[in-house]
Formats: sequence, C-alpha cells, structure tokens
Amino acid sequence: MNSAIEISGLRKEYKGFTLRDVSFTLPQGFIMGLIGPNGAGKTTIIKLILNLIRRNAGDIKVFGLDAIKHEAEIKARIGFVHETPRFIEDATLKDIKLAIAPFYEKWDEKMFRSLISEFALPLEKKFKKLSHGMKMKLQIALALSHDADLLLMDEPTSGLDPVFRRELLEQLSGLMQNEQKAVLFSTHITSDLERTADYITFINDGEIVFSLPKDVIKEKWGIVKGAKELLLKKSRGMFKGVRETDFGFEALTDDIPSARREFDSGVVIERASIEDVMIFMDKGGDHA
Amino acid sequence: MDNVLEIKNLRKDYGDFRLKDVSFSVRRGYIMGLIGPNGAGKTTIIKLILNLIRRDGGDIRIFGLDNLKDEAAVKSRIGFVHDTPFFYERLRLKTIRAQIAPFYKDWDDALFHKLIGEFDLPPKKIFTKLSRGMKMKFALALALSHKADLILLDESTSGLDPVFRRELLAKLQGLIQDEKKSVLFSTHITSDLEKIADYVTFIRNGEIVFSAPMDETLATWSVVKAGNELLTEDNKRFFKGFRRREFSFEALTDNTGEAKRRFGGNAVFDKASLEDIMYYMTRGESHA
Amino acid sequence: MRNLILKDLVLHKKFLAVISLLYIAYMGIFGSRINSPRIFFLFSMIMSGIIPVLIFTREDKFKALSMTCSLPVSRRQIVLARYVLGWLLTLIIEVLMAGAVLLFPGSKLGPSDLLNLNMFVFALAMMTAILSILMPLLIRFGIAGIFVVAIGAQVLGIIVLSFRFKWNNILVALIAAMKSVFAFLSAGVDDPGRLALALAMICLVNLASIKCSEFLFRRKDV
Repeated sequence: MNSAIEISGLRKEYKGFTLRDVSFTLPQGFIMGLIGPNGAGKTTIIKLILNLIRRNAGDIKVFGLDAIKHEAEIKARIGFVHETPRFIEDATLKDIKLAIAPFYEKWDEKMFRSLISEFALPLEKKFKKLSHGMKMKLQIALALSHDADLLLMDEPTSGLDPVFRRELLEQLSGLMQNEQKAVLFSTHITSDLERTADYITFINDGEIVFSLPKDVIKEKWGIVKGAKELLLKKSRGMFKGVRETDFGFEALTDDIPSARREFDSGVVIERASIEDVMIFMDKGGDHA
Repeated sequence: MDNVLEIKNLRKDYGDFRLKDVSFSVRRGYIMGLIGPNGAGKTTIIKLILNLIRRDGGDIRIFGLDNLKDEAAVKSRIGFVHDTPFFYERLRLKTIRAQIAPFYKDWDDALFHKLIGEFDLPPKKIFTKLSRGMKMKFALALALSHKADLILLDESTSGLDPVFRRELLAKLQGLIQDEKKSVLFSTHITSDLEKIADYVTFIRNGEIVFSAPMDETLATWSVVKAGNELLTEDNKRFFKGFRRREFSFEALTDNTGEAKRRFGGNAVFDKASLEDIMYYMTRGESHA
Repeated sequence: MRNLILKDLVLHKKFLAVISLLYIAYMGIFGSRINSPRIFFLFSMIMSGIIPVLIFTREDKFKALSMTCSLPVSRRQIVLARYVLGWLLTLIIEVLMAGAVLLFPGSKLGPSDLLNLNMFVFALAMMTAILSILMPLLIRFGIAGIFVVAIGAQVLGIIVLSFRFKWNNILVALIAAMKSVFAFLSAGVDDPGRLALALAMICLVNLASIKCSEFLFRRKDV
C-alpha cells in the first residue's frame, strides 16, 4: 500500500505555539479527518504539507516524494481548499478559473462546468460578492476539477449547509473507489467524519494525540457513566479523560471490554462519538 | 403561553427570492433552532427581526412590542451575534467594549469581564489579530453582557471547534434555565441543535416547512430503508422524500407509526436526524 | 512561468487597464510640455516601473499569495515570473508612453530625442534601479516594503542634513564621488566598450536582485 502522505518528526515553531513531533501516515485510497480545537495546529500542518510555511524540522513525503524538493510536481496532483479563501477580490469567477486552470495538465473543463452548475456558482460574479460558503464551493470546484490524487482541505465545509456537506462527502467517498486517491480534511463538524472518514487524527496544542482508524474508535472507545463511589483511584488511570459531576462521573475509555471487566455492573457504557472523544481528551479533568 | 417572539405572515420580496407567509413563535425560556439550506431565508428572517431590512408585509412582535414602532426598546433587550463579527478591525477589544457598552442601559461590566476571562480573550488584543473562533467568542461576550432577554445567533458557531461549541451550548442552556432568557439560533451544525434546542423551525425556499418541538420531531420522523420493490407509487406519495439506489432506497417519513404498519419487518427504520430531514426534503425526490 | 504571468494579467486586467490608461495619458500631456528626453525617461520610467509593483502589492493586500504558492509551481518560478512580468509591463507601457508623447499635439520632443541608444540604456538602468531594489523589499516586507524605501530615504536625508556640518568632509567627498560616477555614466554609451559595460552592469544588478529575492522568498511563510 502506498502512502499519499507520510509525515515524521514534523516541527514548526512560532512565538507562543509550537507544533512538535508530528508523525502520521495517510495511505492511498482512504479519507483521513484531522480534528482538534481551534489553534491546535491543523492549518499549520496543511500549510506545511503545501510548503506555504517553512518547517523547523522533520520530513514530509507526498506520493513518496519529498514535499520541498518535488514541490511543483506534487502540487500538480493536489487539490487544495484553504480555510480562508483568498483571491484577487475584484476578479470574476470566470477570470479566476481562466487564471488557474492552465497550471494543471489534467484540468477537466467539463467536470468544472458541471460542478459550477451543481453548486449554483455565478461565473460572472466578482469574488468579493460571494458569501463565505460560495467561496468555499468555488475552491472545492477548482480542487475537484483536475483529477487530483490528493485532496487537502482545511475546514472545507464551514459555512455550508448540511445538505451540501452530505453530498460533498458522498462525492469524496465515491472518489475513494479509485484506490489511487486520498483525502485529508480538517473539520470542526465531527458528525461529518462519523459518516465518511476512514482514519481520524486528533491534534491538540501542537501535538498528535492519536491517529487511528475510525472503526477502532467506533468499536473500542466508550463513555463509562456511573456513580461517584465506583470511581476508585485505581480505575482512573485506565481512562483517557474523566468528568465528575455532583451525581456521578463520566469517563472516556479506549478499551470498552476492559472497562466492562473492571466495572462489572453498575455502570452504563455508551459508544463514544468523535465529538465525545475530543471533549473528554481536551478537558479530560484529571486522570492518574 | 408567553411568546418572546411572534412572527406572523412575514413577507419579503427580492425578485428572484421571496420569503412568503412566514409565521412562527418562540416561547419565553426556550431555545429554538432555525435550520434550512443556504439561501432558504434564515438570515433574511433574522435581519427582518432586527429591522436591518424592510419587510414587505406581516408582523413581528418581540416582548409584546412591535419591532418597528418600538425598535430601540426592543433592540436594547436583544443580543445579536452575527456570522461575521463586524467591528472596527484595528481597535483593541477593550476599546470596542467602550464603544458599545454605553448603548445599553443594562450593561454589566463585571459580567463582560468574567466572560472574556472565561473565553480567554485578552482585552488589549487588537480585534483583527484574533482567530475566527475568538472573534465569535468576543461577539458573544458582548451580546451576553447587557442582559439581553432574547439572544439571536446567526451561524455564530461555524468555525468553532466542538469543545467550545459544547461549552457555548451549555452556557446557553444555563441562561435558559436560570434566567428565563430565550434563544433563536440559526445554524448549519444541526447536531448542536439536537443537543439543546427545544424547538426547531425548518425553512426552505422562503417558506416554513415546519416549526415543532424538537423531541416530537425526532420521535415522529424516521428514515426508512428497504428494497426497491417496496418503492411503489403509493409509497412514494407517502414519503416526504426518497433517494433510490441500485437495489434499495432510503426515504424520509414524518409518520413513523404508519410507516411501520406499511413496511413492518421488511424495512429498517432509523431515527431521522435533523440533517436527514433536511437532506431528504431538499434533495430527495418527492411525489407527495 | 508563462502561466504565472498570464495569471496575473488575467486577474488584474481591469486594474492594469485603468492604471495604464491614466498613466499613459498623463505622461502624454506631461511629456509634451518638456524638452529634455532625460527628464521624460526619468519620470515615465518611475511611473511605468511602479505598475508591476502595484500589482504585486495588490496580491499582498488581498493576501492571495497563499493561493499562488499552492499552485504547482516552485518558489523560484514565482519570483522569476514576477521579474519577467515586471520587465514586460514596464517596457510595454513605456513604449506606449513614448508613443503618446510623440503623437501629442504640440510636443517638443521628437523621435530622435527619444529613440536613441543612450536614452534606451538610461531607461533600462532606471528600470533596473526601481525593480531591483523594490522587489526584494516587497517580498520581505509586503506592501510595507515600499514604505521602507520611501520613508527610509526620507529619514536618511533628514539625518544627513542634520549632521551636514559635522560630516562636512565626508559629505563633500561623497558628493564628489557621486558626481564623477554620474559624469562617467552620463558620458553616454556611444562606444561599444561602454555599451557593453553598461549592459553588463544592468544584467549583474538584475541577477543579484533576483538571487536575493529568491533567497528571501524561499524563506517566506505565507
């Protein structure tokens, strides 16, 4: 299996924030969701992959090639969507396409036209007149119109309604039928990931917390809820995050079978949603 | 039954888009979610409530007052968070506060400072240097600091991570319970609404599709999945929207009881999420 | 590279059209009132040399650089394309300005004034001076780069004037040196030796500037 993206030991230093020791792999043919609180480093990682910012240390390989040495070659196969879409404000969408399409050998004009009409984007309109959602749709249309092997998308669905989001995600899933494609997208809307992602990478405060197949999370991660007394000191260590309320506790475990054994009865164990995982691991309270 | 917001037969004509006969109410002490595809009219309704645009017909009463005749009185009790917070970009947060506070006789400075402390917003920071999430938080702090009785949120949570969104939702719920405030919350992140909204109003193409209690909605609507042979003309008319796949179909019904009677064990029934409802009613075929 | 140049031309076409027309018209009027070709080239070169700079600052203003850098091009190509576009635009607009002057009724300058080798080399030298200095600054500081030059020059002037008595000897020597350099340069390029030297220097300065810009741009976080 080839890797679409291979990152190891990535480091980027800013005043007041450092991305450190970031390593993960995205195999071809899969969709990876990148999640994390605001400011955790998601955009930084995507910018580093695109060499928009310089890394302080580490390696990034895309399609097996070094991301800096083979920059142009790699980018010809990447469709990107930035968190904040920026183009020359008074250019029309038509002009933008005219300016960008020639850069891509595999540009598919028919595909672009069909996407534009599906997204209801007025080609004659100036970029500055579009709403945020429409600007995102424009980026998505551009990214999907040159048969890219890797889609790198930073919050592509923010500002878009659930209907469009679902269709986009279905389209992405459809793309994955071709084993040579891959998608990495960061999002705050974890419900989207529940449906489509194959892998989930969680980054917090500049560090990778985990990078796992979604199925593992779905099957083995759970929320244990029970009365306070049951939360003995020795049990805390087994949890990834604990919250205590006046009435009891809720804790995140990455090993439901063990938790079941530990607590026998007297607790309720529910499957953890991706959002639960983020919340418990971000402000997990205390754990030994 | 005390309605904090009452909209009757609201009309607005934009030529290619029309808001027609919009009527719904928000009860005091409850949270109502407003959902609908992009361009359906959600922002238009909110702008009409705030009299930012002129209506072509209908009535809007807030706190029992007419929103046009008693505009100032009404607005002093409304907290509004826009989807793109507009403030003078280059001012510091504390300067912006100093500009806004004098407009509200119920401005609570202590509360404001408590909120920006909670949200981690340094008062000396320049607005434009904040991330999108932090800008939202600031706008929210301002909106909450003058003891508004009705809080309007227009896509305020897009771009915010799940951790913060959950905190925000908890905060809104706290406001409702403790202080009998009311919230009208338009958002694309329907999973958030499912967690806290008491009522939900679905608008599509300028018309209200339904406005109902949340738990009732989630209980009576479901997604039916069955083999295509069950997709008869009669059944098509029964559904609110359906998608046909290669061998099976998925369909939305607002009458789970009847659906179970019709299909019994031959179909799989899933509770419909708000997203499902939006999706099938917007993109699904309908012969109703 | 061609794509990069075309991209900028397409995206900024309206701005380019308006600004160019304005400048050309202005220069036509201005140029018709003077009788020194050198003055004409001095002013027109500054104006036409600024046009590509304005385009690059627009990209900075709209923060569209991250978009450009995400396209399948290397940083080096982006820098080179800027220089090529800069040269092309300036030369074309300069030609149009010269044409406007020649055609403007009542113009005191004639073809022989404008269309000679000395003036051509002079124009190239002016262009080089403007672009070579501004480009690296633009890349490093964005729009602020222009202010670095403008304000920096002002500040330098103020300092020099303030200390002119204290530094009298140094200043006198400097001015004398500059005088002789100008004299040397203004002697014209009538003989092939001088022409070759002039062109070589122009090329060198451009190359140095390009190398500097590449270096700076490679390190720039967009």
